[in-house]
Amino acid sequence: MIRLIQLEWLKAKPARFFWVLLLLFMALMISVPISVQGLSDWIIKNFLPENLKLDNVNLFYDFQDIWQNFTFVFQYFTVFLGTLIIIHVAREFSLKTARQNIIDGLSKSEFVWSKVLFIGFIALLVTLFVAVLALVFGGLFSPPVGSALMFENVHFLGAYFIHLVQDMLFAMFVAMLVRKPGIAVVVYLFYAWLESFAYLVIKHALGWDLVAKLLPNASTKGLIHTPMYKYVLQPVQTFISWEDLVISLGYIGVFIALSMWIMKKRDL
Amino acid sequence: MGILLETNKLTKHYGKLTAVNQLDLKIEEGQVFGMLGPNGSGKTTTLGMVLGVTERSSGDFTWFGGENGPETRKKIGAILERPIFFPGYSAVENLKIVAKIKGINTTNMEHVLRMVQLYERRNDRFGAYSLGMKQRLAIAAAMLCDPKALILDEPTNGLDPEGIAQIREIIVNIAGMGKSIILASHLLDEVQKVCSSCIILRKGELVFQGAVSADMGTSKRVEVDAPEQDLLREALKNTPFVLDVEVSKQGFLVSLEAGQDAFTLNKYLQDQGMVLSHLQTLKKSLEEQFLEIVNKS
Ligand SMILES: Nc1ncnc2c1ncn2[C@@H]1O[C@H](COP(=O)(O)OP(=O)(O)OP(=O)(O)O)[C@@H](O)[C@H]1O
Ligand SMILES: [Mg+2]
Repeated sequence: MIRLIQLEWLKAKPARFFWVLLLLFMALMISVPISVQGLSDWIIKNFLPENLKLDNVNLFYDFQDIWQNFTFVFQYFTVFLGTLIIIHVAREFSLKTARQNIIDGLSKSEFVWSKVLFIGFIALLVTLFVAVLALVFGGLFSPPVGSALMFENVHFLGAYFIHLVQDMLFAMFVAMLVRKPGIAVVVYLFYAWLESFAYLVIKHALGWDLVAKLLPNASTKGLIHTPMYKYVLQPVQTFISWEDLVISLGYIGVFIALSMWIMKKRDL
Repeated sequence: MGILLETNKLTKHYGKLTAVNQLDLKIEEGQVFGMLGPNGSGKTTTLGMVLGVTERSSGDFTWFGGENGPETRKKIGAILERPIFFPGYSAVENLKIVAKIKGINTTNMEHVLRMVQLYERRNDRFGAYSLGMKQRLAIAAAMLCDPKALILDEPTNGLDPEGIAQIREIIVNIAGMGKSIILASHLLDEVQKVCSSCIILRKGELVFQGAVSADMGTSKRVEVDAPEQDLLREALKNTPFVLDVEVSKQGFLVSLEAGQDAFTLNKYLQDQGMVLSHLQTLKKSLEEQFLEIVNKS
């Protein structure tokens, strides 16, 4: 297992696209809390009545809430990681290195597992990065709470990790299916766009809630419910429902199995 | 010496096309073995199947007298069709990947890079290499694990005479280390220069198997005739070691399997009750034989 992760690392480390996409992704993540801070300062300064003004108040960073807020917003950047995975996987077919890997003695299932492990590894690193961001910004701007409360909603990090894995596995599957990096990226992005329409139609026009939930992209964002409603005093789901979890884990299994199947069936 | 590779009715269909048809091969260890055949005769497809990248339609194969699968491939160094590496990565970065797959450390890296004269260029991008350097790096990668066998598919394809000579020298050196080598090529000359025995494929079928040098240069074709030509033709067709029968001016031109000659043919036919009126051995060079085999369709 360590060998397979090391293998992927040797493949990814010298690649420029890998670092460009990863750093872009992290820069975007850092930019969110910074710009939210700026925005809320501006709102407070200009619009809030004088008697409500407090120092350094920004609900976005309140502990408990910060975990859900951050992970919810960051989900919208996962497309960068998906693109990264697509290029990382698909180029192995267009360059034929996958073929040479098998010739050199990797088994086809090891080829798939090494990608899966790499995805898990990246998801873990990114989740840790988000944890650090949340602790830093929460530490700076949240009103002090006890450590018990502070970590109360930390389970959203777990949900975020699953979201990352599911989304990147979907990207891996698309890459294995399409095999050409450029086309695979287009398919991946176009699918996301198409599904977002399908989602609106299925959920709101047809009212088929469960079907909408079962769409692959919708389900990867289904674990973490929108937290923003609480700022307009609407109820917000702050737990991860079993139903959503089962759907996500199901997709994780399905994408691995399908990738394995394609890999075994096709010539390289 | 044991068996390097054995195939049993190995077959590959691409839709209606049969790229490799019921191929039975037995290759001994410790020799440079040639796989000769024109473009599209199924050399790469055959090697792809025994190296696990082309799914076979039917038949099977074993390496080293009974092994199969990824662990076996780790003991083999192989290049199919062209050198394959990440173009943006240096030789060293690419070889590290190969070493990781094979589960070996990289202590051998300097040695193999020096062997193919790429040590000085080890930190340059693979994409910036000349074709000859790419081929040499591929050989270095194949040698990295100190393999029991080396599989080379058209290793001199597209190279200039100097590049070809360099690769040949490397191959001969490696053979001198006692490694088994399978060399696929559509160039007779190449096989003749470095191989001790070979097969010839045509349209996915085995049309010749035998030694390259002595035996094959004088590989037997025999002209025979008998008063009753129809019976003779039947008898020849039923002779197990007869590869091919053609009508000639003086009867029939018969190609024999390696190791067979006019004597054994005559004896066999006599045992079948055939008496010949004409029997003559025709010597044929490998070149003629190859061209003939290849051009006949
Ligand atoms: N992926 C494929 N799809 C369809 N047909 C294929 C495929 N690969 C090979 N073939 C066909 O199989 C036959 C054998 O091809 P193969 O590449 O094995 O020949 P070869 O002996 O290696 O030729 P060359 O000397 O040109 O390398 C050819 O007719 C080829 O067109
Ligand atoms: Mg070929």
